[in-house]
Amino acid sequence: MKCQSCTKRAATVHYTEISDNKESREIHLCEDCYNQQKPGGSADILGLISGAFSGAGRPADDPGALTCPNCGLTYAAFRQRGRLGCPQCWETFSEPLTALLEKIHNGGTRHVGKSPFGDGPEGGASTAADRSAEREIVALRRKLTDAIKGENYELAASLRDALKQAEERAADARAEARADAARSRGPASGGTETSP
Amino acid sequence: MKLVTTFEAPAALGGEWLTGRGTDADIVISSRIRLARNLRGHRFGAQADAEERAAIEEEIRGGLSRSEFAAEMSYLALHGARPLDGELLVERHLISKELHRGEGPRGVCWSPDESVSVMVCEEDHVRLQVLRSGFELEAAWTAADSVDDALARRLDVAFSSRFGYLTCCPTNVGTGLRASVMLHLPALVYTKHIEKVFQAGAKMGLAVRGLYGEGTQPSSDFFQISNQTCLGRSEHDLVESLQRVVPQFIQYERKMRDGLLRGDRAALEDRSWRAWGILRAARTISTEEALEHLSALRLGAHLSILPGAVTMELVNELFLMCQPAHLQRLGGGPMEPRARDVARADLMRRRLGEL
Ligand SMILES: [Zn+2]
Ligand SMILES: [Zn+2]
Repeated sequence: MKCQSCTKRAATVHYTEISDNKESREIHLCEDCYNQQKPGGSADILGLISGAFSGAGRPADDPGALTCPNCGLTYAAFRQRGRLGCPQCWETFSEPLTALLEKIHNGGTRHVGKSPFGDGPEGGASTAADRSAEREIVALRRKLTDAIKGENYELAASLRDALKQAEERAADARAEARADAARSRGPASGGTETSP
Repeated sequence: MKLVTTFEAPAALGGEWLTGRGTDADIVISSRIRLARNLRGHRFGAQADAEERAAIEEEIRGGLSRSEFAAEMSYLALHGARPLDGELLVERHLISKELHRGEGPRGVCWSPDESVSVMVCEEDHVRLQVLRSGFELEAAWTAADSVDDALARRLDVAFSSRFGYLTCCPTNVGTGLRASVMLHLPALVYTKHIEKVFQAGAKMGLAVRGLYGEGTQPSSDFFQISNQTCLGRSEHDLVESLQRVVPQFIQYERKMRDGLLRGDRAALEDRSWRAWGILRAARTISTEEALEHLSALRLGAHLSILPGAVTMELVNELFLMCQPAHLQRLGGGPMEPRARDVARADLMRRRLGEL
């Protein structure tokens, strides 16, 4: 199969692109053309970003002037290079990004799946106690990050202590839960799945 | 966690993924799960200046060293490491080319069997990877999930309930998950049916990539299949869809192998034995040519055409060792491409000649 772009070299990269009218199109490119079309390397994002606005009408709708208060990246600059500057960019540009995400992720615009708090449908915590311990740790850690950022070192020190204790409590609880589970399963040889 | 300053290739030649064990390992070389994570309150990798990168690297290194996994892990700071070490790590799939070629504070943490690696300060602050031999995506996901949980307890991870794990590139946001398998499909290539795999993969929303060596040789018998989207579907759902589709490609390749064995056995045997002959006789050989013949050797070994001493593990080892950085490590110093071609031919003759 030849590359769709240069029509000379063999195509080695194959994927689907969702276009403006939500129709999907198969893409077959050689490595060179693939890399050329996506300066960022990993994805077809630049094409999608420019495509997402090709039909935009009034300039007033154009989000290019939006600027992230944390890192200073403008949406126009993001459009150029296809990479965001910091986690807060996601909040700043959430509206224009949603349209883009719909194309990139085949209609997906909202997260489904695990979370760092252990409370997602597939989160790491298995019991309610576990989940509340995880949430406490995450909340403390967030406060700590903010305290350090605000140069509030006294608060940071006490938060660090609280965090350490919370981590230890959570680790003990996990160890206990594991021991309980092992006890309720009984000795390894008597497992229920073993055939007689 | 053991902090090391150089990458010492361990006594065992390669990682778990080279053992040739696991489900359907005749066709699925390896299964990989990658998770992208970032720290809240910091700019993403490429946007952060040297000072911020140093702080990010320190924070993640600290989180790693306090995790349940720390005791058995090694950590190498790549800034300050020898370039050859970075190349070795790339060839062993422990780090990406991007991390190797990057600048400033960055590092990698890996497990003794090299099945788990955590890249620090790549495009995203954390790129966690689990690599397993054979078709073992579920097992790889379970392992990645638990390392990720351990890290989440020790790092302030950037996450929003709306967009999920926040990443530098919008293609990775949501679960931050990329699941992939590396397939060896020589019979589909030989019988010119491989384009159907490309088309089927693209139709099912999966990305298919051909893999090749150092040069510009456009095609080989190795293909990577991965999910294209990762927002709006759960990790389990994403892994599951590869889990469903890949067996169809495996069946297709097996059918073509059977067809060749019945219809064109002489051609198939000839291909394997020629590869065997060339690798045991050549005095100079390029990476591309070596990979081509190793592919034929791999197929011949599976179809019991070649002597039983040609094992998956040996072929996989040669795949790894014939690459430039490993040859130079073996040879004890830097080598020009021409000298590498000679060293590569030597290696093949030595390892296959003694069988
Ligand atoms: Zn091309
Ligand atoms: Zn920002």
